[in-house]
Amino acid sequence: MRDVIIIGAGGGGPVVAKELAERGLDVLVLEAGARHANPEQEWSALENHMNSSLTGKLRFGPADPAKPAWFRELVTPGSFSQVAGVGGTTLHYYGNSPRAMPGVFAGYRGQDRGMYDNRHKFPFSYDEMRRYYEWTEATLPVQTAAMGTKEQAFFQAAEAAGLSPITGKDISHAGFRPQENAILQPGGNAGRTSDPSQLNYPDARGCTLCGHCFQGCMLPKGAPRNLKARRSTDNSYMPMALTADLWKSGGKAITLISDAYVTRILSDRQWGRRLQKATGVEWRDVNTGEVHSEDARVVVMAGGCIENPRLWMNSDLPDPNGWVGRGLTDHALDWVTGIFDHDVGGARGTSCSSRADFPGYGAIQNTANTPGVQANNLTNSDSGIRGAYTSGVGGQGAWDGDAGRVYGTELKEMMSDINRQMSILVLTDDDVEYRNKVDVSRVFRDDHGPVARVDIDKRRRSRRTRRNRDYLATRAAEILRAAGAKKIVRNDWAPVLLHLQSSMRMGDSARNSVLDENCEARAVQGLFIADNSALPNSLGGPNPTLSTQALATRTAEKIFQQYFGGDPWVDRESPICSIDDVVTQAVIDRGL
Amino acid sequence: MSETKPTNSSISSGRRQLLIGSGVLGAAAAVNPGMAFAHWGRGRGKGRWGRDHSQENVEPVEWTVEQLRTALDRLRDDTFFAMIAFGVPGDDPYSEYQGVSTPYPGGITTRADLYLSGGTDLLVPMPTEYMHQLLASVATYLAIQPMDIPGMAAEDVGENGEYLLENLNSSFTDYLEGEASNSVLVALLINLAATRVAGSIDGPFPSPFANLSWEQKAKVFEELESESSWLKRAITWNIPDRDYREATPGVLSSMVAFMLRIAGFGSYCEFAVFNPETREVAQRPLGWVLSQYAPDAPPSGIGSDDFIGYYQGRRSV
Repeated sequence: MRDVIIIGAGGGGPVVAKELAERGLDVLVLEAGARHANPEQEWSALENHMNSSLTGKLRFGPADPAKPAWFRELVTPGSFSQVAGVGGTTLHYYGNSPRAMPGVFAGYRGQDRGMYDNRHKFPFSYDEMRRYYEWTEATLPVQTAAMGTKEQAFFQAAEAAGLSPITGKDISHAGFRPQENAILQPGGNAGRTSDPSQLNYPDARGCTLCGHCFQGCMLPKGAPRNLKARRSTDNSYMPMALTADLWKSGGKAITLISDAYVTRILSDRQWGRRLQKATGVEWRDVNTGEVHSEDARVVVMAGGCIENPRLWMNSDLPDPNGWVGRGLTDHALDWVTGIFDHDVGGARGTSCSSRADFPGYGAIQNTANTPGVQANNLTNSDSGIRGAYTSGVGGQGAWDGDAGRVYGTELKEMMSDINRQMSILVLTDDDVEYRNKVDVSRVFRDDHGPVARVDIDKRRRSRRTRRNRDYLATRAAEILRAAGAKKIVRNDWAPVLLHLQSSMRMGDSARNSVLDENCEARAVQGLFIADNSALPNSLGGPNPTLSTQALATRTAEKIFQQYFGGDPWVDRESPICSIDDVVTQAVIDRGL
Repeated sequence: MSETKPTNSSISSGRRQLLIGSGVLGAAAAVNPGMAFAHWGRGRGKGRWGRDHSQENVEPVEWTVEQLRTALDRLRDDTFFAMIAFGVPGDDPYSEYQGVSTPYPGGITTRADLYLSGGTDLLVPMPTEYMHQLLASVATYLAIQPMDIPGMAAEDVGENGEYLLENLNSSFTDYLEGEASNSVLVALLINLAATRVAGSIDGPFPSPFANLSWEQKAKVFEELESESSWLKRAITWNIPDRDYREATPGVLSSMVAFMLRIAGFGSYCEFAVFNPETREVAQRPLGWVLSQYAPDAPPSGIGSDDFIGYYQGRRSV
């Protein structure tokens, strides 16, 4: 019997794995997708090769490219942007690591306290969360982002639009700032040359400003795996978890099995407050079809907002209050683009190093984009085709013309010089709503059972969600205008299912949450959740990964205390950074 | 909307409209004119299905499934060329015919149509039975709410014509029983919507959609994206299986949204010139040329000299 089995090696699972491996527990991590052990020999910087949701290396699908991606059913228009494999969706994330808005935590007393989703707050205080943020930020590590052409343009525009800089990690007022990124900042030749002969490690260290965050980070060339620039979990937490015995006295390296799709959580009925007790898991080898099972004292679900409800339902686990899979949030993402008559670095540098935060509304961030992705972004809309039809939505405002999809000659004109574009992603502080849900399809099934079905209807979001989204799009357009944009387009995206949160939410009320205040399932003893789905809300808009990782650190402590009689450590110890020399040596010694 | 005329055909009027309006008959005829209605032809100047006396003496021949598959694949290709020209127009015949073109290449030159076709096939794992019920529902709907296609679907086409239409219908049914592809299904639905929007469509291409102006194409997608879409209603309303019926609007929306987005992504990514052996582009992709991206590629860059410094010199907060 294992001490702990963790299902999923995405943004959250490896955090629990590393923390508990450091405590010496026997941990098994099962990942449905690939383990990309040799990125420099397998990956490229090319969009379709890496990012195609159907055939790309970074897709939600099996490692074998000849096999189709894993399908999910969508009830309403939208698209998925998630990744299976060790690293999960952090394999293509931008490393943005802001903390959540303090207003979404219990006990918040700020003057703007009426601005948030107050029915679905964190069941503990921001002060309590802060120490887990600090631990996680030091482990990854999170660093203040450097400035390139597009960041300089964005900061100047934000100042011109009347915003002031935010100078701390806690978001206390509306303003702009460099991103706090889980990216090692440029060192040596990095960021100072495009000559590939000068960009090998250790001549170049940290981010080389290649502009390919979305294609996965394998640079600098020749760097040990834990010293690759971006701190996706395949570069940070997972190397630490796999070598915990080498860098921590009393630590125990985890066992990682990839291509292992968990199809069932095993459980026994029991008397007491919780209806069942988790006893282990059953998984299917994606390559051979063989079915395996193992028992464990604790099971941690970390398969993500879509797969967790599916697995729960396919395992016939109890759902006494009807909230399993409910309350899904997605930041109601939107896209606003300005066209300039001069170079604003639209395709250069780190993918996202500047942002503005608006407590009570959400956030916006400036992004660099490769051409296929940008064309894809400009052609996504819930408001028809600009100049042709609006699908009854559209909407005019601080941007030019109706919101909508850019198409035909307008698309070609806007795409005629990608470095003259500045694009801003809108991250809405969206409400937890019961009707937005994940359950299982009644039509589609694959080798692992009925597939997940997702229903998040953008047109029927709450009034506050829609207000916040419009407010942020307006602020984005104002910043672009202040920067001197000659033309500004708002897309009004159909849902892009990338920032997903809260489908298995924790909460302070047994009436509207799946997890208790420790992220343990209210209905199943010994079953915890440690990914975005455990978040109680959409964090007020900030990118979710850091908060999920901080919460997962807290959850690891709770597991260690409740089931293994251990003591908490975050207040008592100093974290070991994932780029510490002892970790690097361990990674090299183990041949990772 | 026209009223349904009585017919002695064993094929329902809805099924006839489906075969004709979605472009199946036209595509089959285009592949092998000798197999078309002996006394029917097509082409500009005589109406899309105008009589062609030069073929009156052609003996009727049965369509095989494989011949029909070839015809439908070509129809799909034709439709997708037109789709790409709609999204990213260029200097190709499809762009020129739609009335919106540019003096330099567009998405068709990048072969984004192939990307679209391959992607659509992979997008949704449609069960065969589901596809059957879906098309049957459309046919039933068309029988009750026929499209406004003058003198086509219900016209007396003579014994020879009936024989050929029945043969085509039979082959089409057999085709659906086999390895029918999503991309063909999507092409048929887009063409059906095109016919619905524009009525009888005259033009040089087998695909009704390809013969539309850019503005008419936009109207087709306005229809397809509408919450009260005629096509969604037609597909959904008579599917006997409740689960299939409930899933259909979402599946259709996914496919339509994918079509619209991938015209952009496929045109600007490296798909057409990717070398899997080197994991590098064989030459600079046209989409990169059009967007002035990575002027020194290949190879793809692994860094830039874009580092300016830190905002206000702040290295940490």
